[in-house]
Amino acid sequence: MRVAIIGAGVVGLSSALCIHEQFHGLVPSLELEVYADRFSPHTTSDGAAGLWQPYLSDHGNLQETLWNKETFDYLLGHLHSPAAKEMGLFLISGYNLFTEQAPDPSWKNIVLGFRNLTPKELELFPGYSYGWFNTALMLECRSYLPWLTNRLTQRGVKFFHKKVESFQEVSGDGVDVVLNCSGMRAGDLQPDPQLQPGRGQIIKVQAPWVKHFVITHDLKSGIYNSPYIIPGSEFTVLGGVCQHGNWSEENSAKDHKSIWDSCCRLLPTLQKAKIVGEWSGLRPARPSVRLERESIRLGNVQAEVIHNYGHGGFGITIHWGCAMAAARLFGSILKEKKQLATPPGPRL
Amino acid sequence: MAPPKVAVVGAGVIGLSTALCIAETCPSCSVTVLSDQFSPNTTSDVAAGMLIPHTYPDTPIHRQKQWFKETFTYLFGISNSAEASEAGIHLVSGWQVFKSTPKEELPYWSDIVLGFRPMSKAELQKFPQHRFGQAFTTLKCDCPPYLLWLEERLKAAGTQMYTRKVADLWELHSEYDIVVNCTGMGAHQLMGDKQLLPVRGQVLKVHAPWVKQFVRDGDGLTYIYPGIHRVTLGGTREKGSWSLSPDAGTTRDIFDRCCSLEPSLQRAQGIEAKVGLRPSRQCVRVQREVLSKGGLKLPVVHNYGHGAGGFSVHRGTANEAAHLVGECISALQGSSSRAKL
Repeated sequence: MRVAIIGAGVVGLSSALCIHEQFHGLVPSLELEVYADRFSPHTTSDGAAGLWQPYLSDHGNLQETLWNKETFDYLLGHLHSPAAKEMGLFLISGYNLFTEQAPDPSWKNIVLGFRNLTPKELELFPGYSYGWFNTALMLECRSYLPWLTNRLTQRGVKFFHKKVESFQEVSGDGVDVVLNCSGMRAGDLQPDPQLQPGRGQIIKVQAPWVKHFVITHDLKSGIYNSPYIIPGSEFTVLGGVCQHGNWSEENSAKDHKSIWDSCCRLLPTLQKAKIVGEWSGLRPARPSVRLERESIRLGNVQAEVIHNYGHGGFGITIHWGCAMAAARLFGSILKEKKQLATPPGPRL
Repeated sequence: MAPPKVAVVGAGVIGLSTALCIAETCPSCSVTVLSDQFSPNTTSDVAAGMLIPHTYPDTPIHRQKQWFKETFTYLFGISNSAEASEAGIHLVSGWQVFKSTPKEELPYWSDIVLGFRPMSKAELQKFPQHRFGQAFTTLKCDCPPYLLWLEERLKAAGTQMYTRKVADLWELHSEYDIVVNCTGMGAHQLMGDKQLLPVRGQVLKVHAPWVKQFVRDGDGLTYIYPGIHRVTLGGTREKGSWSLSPDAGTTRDIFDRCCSLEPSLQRAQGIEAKVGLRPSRQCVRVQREVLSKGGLKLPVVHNYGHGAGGFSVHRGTANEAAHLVGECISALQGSSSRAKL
């Protein structure tokens, strides 16, 4: 049984690992192959700061909230494991700021120690009158993706550096199931007008005295269109743009200035920070995550595709819940193909 | 009377901050700092510089609280300014965890730090050996940056600083009008203060930049304090030990205790052991006295004995010491005008 995973960002690699962990013992012939035109450190996931935090509202999409929770709990469980540092996983606390009172988010009981900000804390952030404090997790993909790659390689998963142009290309080649984790470029494999880029730009600085994340919200301008500061293990990420429909991956001088000025206003200490890099990427934005099976007739072959894309600016936040859901879909495909071996038991 | 000449003996956090307060409140004074050690070789340089107060048994609580509040407020203002990184001052959040519920669940300083609250059950799950905890956000003064920043402020105010070992305060009588004694552990010899005893602290400074939160065991012995470039792991409280050499067995023990609170520290790099002697006293000596010897008088203001709590109360005691210096000046001016009659 050959499974091709298209995409080697956080979604592709974690889905591959989840499927291999759950099914390699049950499907002796299981062979996983990862196809991608970009690998770490050149994926969209690599550019993200890595903070676990969903959007403010789940718009009633309880499924996504559950996947977020599953991811948080999974990561929290790994915090004390010897692998944590290698995974790029650590705890971090910080501030979410508003200019007006905001309803509590769907994730308030998922994170640790969620509470409102006190008046004295708000003094730190002139111009903001309301906010939250909580402890969450950081998962830095420039460490996590290589860690996932190592786990997969140890399990015999093969990697191919190539841009897959169509599902037919892999399924016609004898692949039984395709996992479509192509993120922003899913539209190249199958048109999806709901999938649009949410262009982001970030500035990387050296500011090791900043120990908290600070995320501001402008309820009118939309998520991530307001300054944010996220300290990582090697540098601090300054950001705050999310341009819907903008496909450019080039850094914009105008965005640089806007991010720099607004972040320095937010945290004056940043004026002394040294800039060490800049990056732009495209959040694969969609009204909801596309996580579903599709049987595609390609010639005289019935190809089974599991879509897992459209995670916008919360890919890291939701990745493991989605990986497990994709694995469940894979299990249902196996049942249909009667591929599941009987579980190991005493031989008579 | 000519502008008063004030000598501040000691250049740790107490000496430098006291000198700065004097320079700020008495611009006409000529202030000189004298010390045998300057940063990075002071006791203060070894400390993590966390603003988590130590309770002095014989100092009234309201006075300790006032000192802490003044210190916190002063540093809070700097922490959010463009100078913060240069001054080494930054906010840090974290947890204080207890193996058994403390007698006092609300310490006197709980309303001064930010966001103080009990830890939730979910948070305590991270510490299986601990049953109770407190979460809050406080400030940290990283040394050497903080001491170097104080030195810069002093230079800008016209303060002179000299490396000099003062073996006897009377040495200074001919050159200075008032002496401010911020000698920390040095006061044991200098003043013959037998109430002042060292409490030896060994710490490790390690490179673990993914550690963004502090963790402190309520027993005060085990703590993890992330600074700008290094994390301070502690520690020990060895009463009466004068040894300034790091002990290898102690290093291992501190590392193991900290790793049990924060397992990822197993991956820490560049481990460096340091030792400081906390200048400990039942109460901090912030007090004015006039020394007499053969008809000569030397006004002295003491500001020492801060033990484990130096950083937490430094600005408050510096303010009080500066106020006492003001009283000394008034007394001198009073007696000099009387002398004119």
